[in-house]
Parts: sequence; C-alpha cells; structure tokens
Amino acid sequence: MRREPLERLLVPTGEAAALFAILVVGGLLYTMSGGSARDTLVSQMFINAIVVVGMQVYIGNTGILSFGHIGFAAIAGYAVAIAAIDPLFKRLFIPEAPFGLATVHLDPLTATVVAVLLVALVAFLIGLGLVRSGARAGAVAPTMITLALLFLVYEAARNFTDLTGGDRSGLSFGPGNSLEGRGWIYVALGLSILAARLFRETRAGRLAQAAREDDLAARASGIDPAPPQMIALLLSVVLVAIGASLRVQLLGSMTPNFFFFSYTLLTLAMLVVGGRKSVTGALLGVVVITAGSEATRYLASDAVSVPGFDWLLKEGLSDLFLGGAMLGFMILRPDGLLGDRELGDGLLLRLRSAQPTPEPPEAPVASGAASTLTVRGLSVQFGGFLAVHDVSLQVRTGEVVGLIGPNGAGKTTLLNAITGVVPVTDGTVALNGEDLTRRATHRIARAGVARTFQNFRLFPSLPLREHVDVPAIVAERHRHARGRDARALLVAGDLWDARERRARELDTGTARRLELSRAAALSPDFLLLDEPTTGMNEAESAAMIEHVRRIARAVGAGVLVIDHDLHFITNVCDRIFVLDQGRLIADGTPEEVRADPQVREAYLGSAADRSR
Amino acid sequence: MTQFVQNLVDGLGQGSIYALLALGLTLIFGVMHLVNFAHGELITVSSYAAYALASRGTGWGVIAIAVIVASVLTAVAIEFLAFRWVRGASEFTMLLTSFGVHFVVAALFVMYVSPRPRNIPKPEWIFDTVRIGGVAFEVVDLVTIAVTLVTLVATGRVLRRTMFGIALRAAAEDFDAARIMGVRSNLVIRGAFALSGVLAGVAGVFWLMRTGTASPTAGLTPLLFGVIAAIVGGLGSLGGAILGGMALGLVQVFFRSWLPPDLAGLTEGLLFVLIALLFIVRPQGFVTVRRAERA
Amino acid sequence: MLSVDGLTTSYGSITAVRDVSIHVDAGEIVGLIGPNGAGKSTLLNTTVGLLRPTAGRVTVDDRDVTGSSPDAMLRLGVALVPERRRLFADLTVVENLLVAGITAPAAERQRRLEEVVELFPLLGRRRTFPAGYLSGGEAQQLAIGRALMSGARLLLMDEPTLGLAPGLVDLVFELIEDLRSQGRTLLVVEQNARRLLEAADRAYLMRTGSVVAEGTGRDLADRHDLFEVYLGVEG
Repeated sequence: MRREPLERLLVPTGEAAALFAILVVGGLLYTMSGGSARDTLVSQMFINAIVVVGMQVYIGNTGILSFGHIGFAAIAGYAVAIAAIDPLFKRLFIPEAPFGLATVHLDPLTATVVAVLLVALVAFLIGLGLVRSGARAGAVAPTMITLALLFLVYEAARNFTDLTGGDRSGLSFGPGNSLEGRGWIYVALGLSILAARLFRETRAGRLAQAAREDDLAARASGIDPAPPQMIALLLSVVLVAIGASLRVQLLGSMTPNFFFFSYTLLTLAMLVVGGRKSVTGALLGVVVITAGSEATRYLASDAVSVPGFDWLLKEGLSDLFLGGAMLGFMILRPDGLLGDRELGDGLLLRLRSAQPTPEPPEAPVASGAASTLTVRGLSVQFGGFLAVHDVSLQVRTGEVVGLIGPNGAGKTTLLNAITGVVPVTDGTVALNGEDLTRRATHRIARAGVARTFQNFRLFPSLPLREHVDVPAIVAERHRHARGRDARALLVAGDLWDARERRARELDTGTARRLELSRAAALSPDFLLLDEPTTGMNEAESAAMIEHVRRIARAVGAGVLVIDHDLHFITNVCDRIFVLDQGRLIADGTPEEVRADPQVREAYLGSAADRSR
Repeated sequence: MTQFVQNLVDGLGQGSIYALLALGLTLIFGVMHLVNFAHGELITVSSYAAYALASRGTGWGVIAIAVIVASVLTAVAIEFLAFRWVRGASEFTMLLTSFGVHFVVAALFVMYVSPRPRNIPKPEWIFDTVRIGGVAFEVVDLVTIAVTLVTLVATGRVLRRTMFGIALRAAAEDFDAARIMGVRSNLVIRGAFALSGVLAGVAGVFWLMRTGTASPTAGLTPLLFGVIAAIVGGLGSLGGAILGGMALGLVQVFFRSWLPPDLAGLTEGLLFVLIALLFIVRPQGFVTVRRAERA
Repeated sequence: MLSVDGLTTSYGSITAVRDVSIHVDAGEIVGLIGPNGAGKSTLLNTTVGLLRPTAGRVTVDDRDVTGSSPDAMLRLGVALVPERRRLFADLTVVENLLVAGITAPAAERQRRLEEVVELFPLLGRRRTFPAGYLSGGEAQQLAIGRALMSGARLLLMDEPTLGLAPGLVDLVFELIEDLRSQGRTLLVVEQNARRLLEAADRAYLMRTGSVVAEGTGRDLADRHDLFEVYLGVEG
C-alpha cells in the first residue's frame, strides 16, 4: 500500500510537468521562427488547451456528453469582460449597465475569480438538474440540458444588450491587448494540466470512471455516481472559466458568437480526436487540431495556390477539416488517437509490475455476530406477469445457499429485487432486521449485499486491479473495512498476473472470477452470485467451486448462488432452494433436493398422460 | 379571446413544422437509436435548392417539389455516407457523428456556395389574411396546418397499409425480431431516412416560406425545435412526436405574445429554460413508450 | 435436410456453442433439450443467421448456407419462432402476420394469411388487436402463425411452451404434430423435456455448449439417469 502515493501522486505530477514542458518548449520553438501571428496562435492554442482539458475532466471521466461547457465559458467570459474593462471604454458599449456595473473596474485576476465563482454556482445548479435527469454515459437528457444552456446563454447575451452589448457592439477592452505577455497563460495551463491529471487519480475521479464504464455495476458496487459527477463538473467548469477569461483578455473583446457553436465544435473536435478519456489525449488533440486547422486555413488563404487543388482550398476549409475530423474519428476510431492512455503509462506499468504479490487473504477476525439476510413473502410483478410469487428464504454469513430452477423460474428477478434493480411489488428484504426493501441499489450494496451479474458487467476499459480497488474505496468509507488489502482478492481469484490487463480483453472464466473478486472487495456480508459458471467449461466450473468457497471465507460472507450446473451447486452449497414459475417448490440439502420428484418434474417437465 | 384564437392557429401553424420534423426524427430514432442532429441539413440543402429556383423566377409550386426531393436525397445520402458506418455504436459516438455531419455540410456550403445568407423571395400571398367568424387568420398558418394534416394522414397510411410501413414499425419496435421475420435491415433504415426526408421536406417548404433565407446554418433552428419536440414526445412514440411539435409551437407563440416587448427576443431563451426544466423533471418525455410485453 | 457440423459460436468472450454437430431429416421432429445456458438458443440463432459462427458449417439441402442472413434463410424455407415469441406488441395481429410473410410476393402472402386464419380462427377474430393485448395462448398461436406465414418447410422453435399454462402446453404440442402432418420439419427446443421426448422422433441433449447425449425420443426418455445427465451431476 505504500507504493500508492508514488503511483497516484508523483507519477501523474511528473507526467503533468512533462506535458506542460513539451507544450511550452514546442510553442516557444514555433514562435521563435515566426512573427507575432505565430505568437498569438500559440497563445490561443494554450488557452484552448486549458478549456479542452477542463472539458476532459467532465466528459472524459463521466462519459456524459455535455454541450454546455462553452455556455459556461460564455458566462465566465462576460463576467470577466464586464468587470475588468476600464469604465472609460465600458461606457462606450454598455452605459446603461444595471447594478452600476458600468463603473466597476476589477483587475483581471479578481475578475477571473468572480467569474469562476459565478460559473461554479450555475454549474452546481445545472449539476443538480443533471442528477435528477438520470445523467450517465450515453444518456440523451444531459446533452439536451447542456445544449439548452448553451443556447440560453447565447440568446441572453444577444438580448440583454444593456449588460453585454449584444451582437452589434459587444464589449471591448480598448486599444492594446489587455493580456501582457504569456505569464498567466503558463500558470493557468500548468495548473490545469496538473489538476486534470490528478483528478483522474482521486477517489471522485475513479468512482466517476467506474460509473462511466457501467452505471449499474458501479451502483451494485456501492457507488453513487452523483457526487463524483458533481465534483467533476465543478472542477471542469472552473478550468473552462479560467480558459475563457484568458481567451477574452487575449482577443480583447467579447461577443455572443465567441463562445457558441463554432467554438464548441473546435473544442469538442480537439477532445475526441486525441482521446477523451485521458489528459494526454486531450492535449494531443489540441495540438493536432490546431496544426490541422492552421494548415487548412493557410492553404485556403489567398496566399497559397496549389494547382489542381484550388477547388478544395477555399474559405471554410478549416471548418470542413474540423467536422471531417470529428466524423472520421467517430467512424474509425471513436476512442481517439490515444484511447485512455496517458504519457506516463509505461512508467506506471513498470512500477506496478514490480509490486510483490500480496499474501492471500486470511479469514477476517470475527468482528461480531453473524448476519442474516431475510427475504419474506417477496413478490415481483411486471405488468400482468407475476415473475416472483411470495418467496421467502434466509441466508446467514458463513453458509452457501443455492437457488436453482428451470429457465424463466424467476431466479434472476428475485436477485434483482433483493438488490434494488427491479421494484418489489410485495414482501420485504431485511439485513439483520434493517429493512432494505425499495432502497436504492448502491445503498443496498453499502449495507453489505454485493452481487455479480448473469451477463457479467465489468468495467471494460479499466484494469483488473481497479475492479477491486474501487469497491475498496467504498468499503473503507461505508463498510468499516480499513486496511483490508483488496489486492489479496485478486490473488485469491487467480487474477494477480493479469492485474494490469483491461477487463474487456478477458475470457469468460477470468471475467467471472473477476466479478466475484470485485463483489468481495466491498467487504460485504452477503455475496449474491448470478450464474457464475455460465459460459465456463467443465474444468473451470469445477475450479469455481473452490474459488467461491475461498473468497466467501476470506471476507466472511454468506453466499446465495444461482446456477444451472448442478455439479457445481451440489458441491458448493449447504442448502438449496428450488424456484419454479416464480414460486418456491422445495428446499433442503443437495441430496434431498436431488431426490425430490417435484424438482425433477420442474426441470424435465411432466409426461402428457399426467396432464389435468 | 380573438387574440387567443389567433395565437392558437399561429401556434399550430408553427407547431406543424416542428411536428413534421419531430416525426422524422422519431422514425430514425426508432430504427437506429440515434438522435439525428444532422436532420437540419435537409432544410439547409433544400434552402439552396429553393434559392436557386426562386432566383430564376420559378413559382413556389415547383419550388415546393424541389425542396421535398432535395430533402429526401440528402437524407438518404447522409445515411449512406455517414450513419451506415456507425450502426450499433455507442450513443456518444452516434451523437457526435451526427454533429460531425452537420458541421461538414455547413462547411461545404460555406466553401462552395457562400457563407452569406441568400434571400429567397416569399410567395405573394404570404402576408395575406383571411377573416373567419370575425377573426383574422394568416393564410400561411392555415395552409401549413392543412398541408401538414394531409401529410400526416398520408404518412399514417404508409405506415399502416404498406408493407414498408409495417416493416418499419416492426423494426422500430424490435429490430432483431424484424430481421428474424425476414425484414431487410438496410432497406428499412434507408426507407426510414427517406420518409423522414419527405416529412422534413414538407416542413422545410413552410419554414423557408416564412424565413425566406438560404444559408449554411438555415437548418439549425428548425432542427433544434424538432429534436426538442421529438424528445418531449418520448422519442419512441410517433403520436408523441406530433403532440410534442404542436405543443412546442403553441408554447413558443404564447410566450412571445405574453412577454413584454423588450423581452420578446428572449422567447427562444426562455423556451430553452423550459426545455431544460422538462428534461430535469421528466427525462423520458411526456408520452410513455409502450415496451414489448415480457411474457 | 438440415445439417450442422462442428458449429462453434462465441460472442464477446463467451463460447456458447462448442463444436456441435446435429442433423434433421425431412419430415422429422427433432428435439433439443438441456438446462439453461446450454447453448440451445444460440444454436438455433446461429443456424438461422442471426449470429455468425466462429467455426463450423450449416447446410440446408446439401447447400452450404453458413453465415447467410435471416431473410436469405427464409427464402430457403427455414424460419425461426423465437424464444418468448417476440411479437410486435404495437402492431396488430394481422400486421404481425403480414410482416412475417414479407419475403413472399403479395398474392402468395395473402393466400398464406387466409390459410393461417383458417387454421387459427381465434386469430381471425382478433385481427385488429394489438398483439400486446393477446393472452398467452393466443400469442403462441400468433407466433406459430407467423412461422407459417414465412412458408417455411423447416421450423426452428425456441421454447414454444415457455410461460404457458399446462392446458396450453397440450395445444402447442398438438400444433407441432399438425405441422408435421402438413409436411413440415421441426427442430424444437423445449424446457419441458419429457413432453418433447414423447413427441420427438430424435433428440439431442446439450449441456454447457456441447451435445452430451443423443438418440431417439424414446431412448432418451427411458434413461433412468436423465435428470443427472441433464444437470450434470455425476455419480
């Protein structure tokens, strides 16, 4: 565990510093060989980098496509312009400004701070709205809400001309650039890269990433995506606001169109081309798009003529390039050039590979009385269809209980009802008397009920070790599981050697063992396993018997396991419940159940001459 | 009271355009699970077709047909060139793909036509009013509503009585089951785009009549309203799309008439506030989309 | 008529069907039994073209049709009645039937429609009902009706009695017999193994993706260790 600070703080900081240095040096070299036009270009590129890195913090970590970040930028831009422009010039544009703003004159730094606070407040409110709308990766509602923000700000800016100067005059800083030298840009750029890179390693960042990969699996691991997403949003708009403030000062003026559709296109293209899931990717995208944009602008300008291609080199080519780049990458390489790889990944990999194998987990010290999970009279109805009817059962820590039954019997539905994934129509679920019925999935997980999924739901682009580290974060906070080494669960699952591989590369057997270890990493009182051997061959299923026993013992949990492989069930379970058509038809020891004629009939069906 | 009825008709006239666009968007969403932000390009392209013909003095009857044809061709072209490659991709990818298409088309127009908007002469009767029961109505509203009704009825017939329409509805409900029945996925998707092109074409005719402008961003505003209306309608329900469009038109008109004059320009802005609130309060839209039975 | 050789299907990292070989001769009812997760549905779905196999071959009437699309298979006369029926709930009964006949020319489609209505008068009375409002038994009739609309000679049926009350189970098996006496061939996956083994000429038992037993319906039904083999409990 002592290596953690090295990995999660020092290496990313070094990475951020390296990225910063590369950009700055590259920019200086480029500027030295050209004139003031290049100077402005590089400054603009750095400012765009700040904005895009800010967007990466939210869009990259949460997977939620927000179109509104440039709307936040617009708010910040106006705030800075209104506050920081010398009243002498300001009254040329907005003499009638309300609240006496025509006379306000803040220095740019203070104005930026004000802008950041304002934007953060707006973002907080919007963020509440996003949570309420069920924002998660791939959802349409947050895109629409944030798009609405973008348009709203644009329209407001065009309309409240007393405050903003509207379309016609806008706001201007007066002769000469208000931004002296690039000092502040460097500071802001360096801090932004650092903040964005470190955020990926913070708890909030990692929880947000897990939710991005699979919202339901994250919730079942005890994660509530809302707070990490809110934190990501706030940090991201702070960075965007800083970038916007610098942009306004650099351009020396502000109109509604500065932060609207074309800037949105530019920044989004930069973000997705490089790879939205990593800071290095975002920065690479900035450089690539800036270079491409400039090249196309140059080619399309009157200064250049390429025989045979003049039909292509016309004004608007750079927009075509931007749109085409976005389109091309979405079709060919939706994860961008770098996917989610960062600059220091190679170094991190080497550091992590040198870790010593942890000790296999021992059984925990008996921390208290055994726990009991009680299901009483549970019924689940979907429309007119009664999937589960009046089912009662009980599981205690330390025992392994099986749940079997033919296809369509309602086993998975029962599991889903216990874990809050589907609504309960009737009956109760209680853990040591604490009523869990109708609680949110993540709260049930935090109470101590962990699960796996029938069609396993891993976090595809996260490495295996993160699958146990992230629930451990939740366990530390909500399950009083300090000091428990989640890594040991990887060893117990025969996953240690593969710990750096991404989950999407795994075969079925490994994936199922990973799901089991992930569930156990929550330090739960109960493990609910949904068909953990489906897709495994005979050898893997046999090995799974030992895995389940070992892991359950390691965390001191009781197990409820659904499966069809009766060899597996018979050997791993102490007791078995049998479900058929939503009802409990038998329970007892494996031998009793196997001999029960009702059970045989449920599985094999009845012969025709016995029909009523 | 008079004002109210006028606003009502005005709102329905405006709403008809949105309803047609929303319907097209819902059809595409049904078969591809894609919110097609490039839908506005159909109107953009049509606007230039209209401009080209109008500047030659062609009458609006011919222009209308050209607009619809241009719209259909553009829709099918976009599907063939761009969306075909991202079928089954994540929503994030598909959303950005449609945005990418939008920007590419806009850029192409800037490059090869002109970034400056062009004027399309409006038909002479555009400002005419007619008195019914003592209340003055704008002819354009009445014509829009009438044509939209006809179009919707015709679309309904296509969806209900032709094999293509039945196959399309089947595919929108359960794409894989439709394939099992032998429905050809390519044809269905292309057909959905073509049909959405017809609807957008009719909407485009009236939109262009009112705005009289051809520009690289001509399709942006109607697109936005169409998308909003489709999502308000629940994104899976054809009836919901139509209701959503009409509702949006009514809200827009009534907003504008109630706001004090100096805030009138904020109509769009307030509309967006309303939209945002809607998505916060009821992200699944207002019409519940019935899912296939579980049994 | 249908021959599957060494078929393997994987999706993602799950190998659902492993080197499976079965055959169905014309006029037979062949059963496919086994516990859930055995790969039976996957086998049917791959045969009919919904899934691509990673290895192996599918042959219909001596013609290699591996990887053909579902509508191509329909034109060859092979139709799938999917698990849980997958009716189009928002479409009416008639529309569901018409869609199923989409690969046929209009006149032929109309003729088949009338045949189906004659066979299932109940459906005829419920023509304009949205399929989502049908009861279980009616829905199953519609599902089989759809299979008939495709004019298929070989019907692949995936758990036709799933979710049906016992009385309707009888009805379904009667219909299966009727279909055979009309000259069609059937490959039927069923949960209700005993009933299926009574009705089938031959059957295969699948477990964890492979065939673990085969024989005539009677042979398999008479095995005293059927339960054990079925669920993989050794000894």
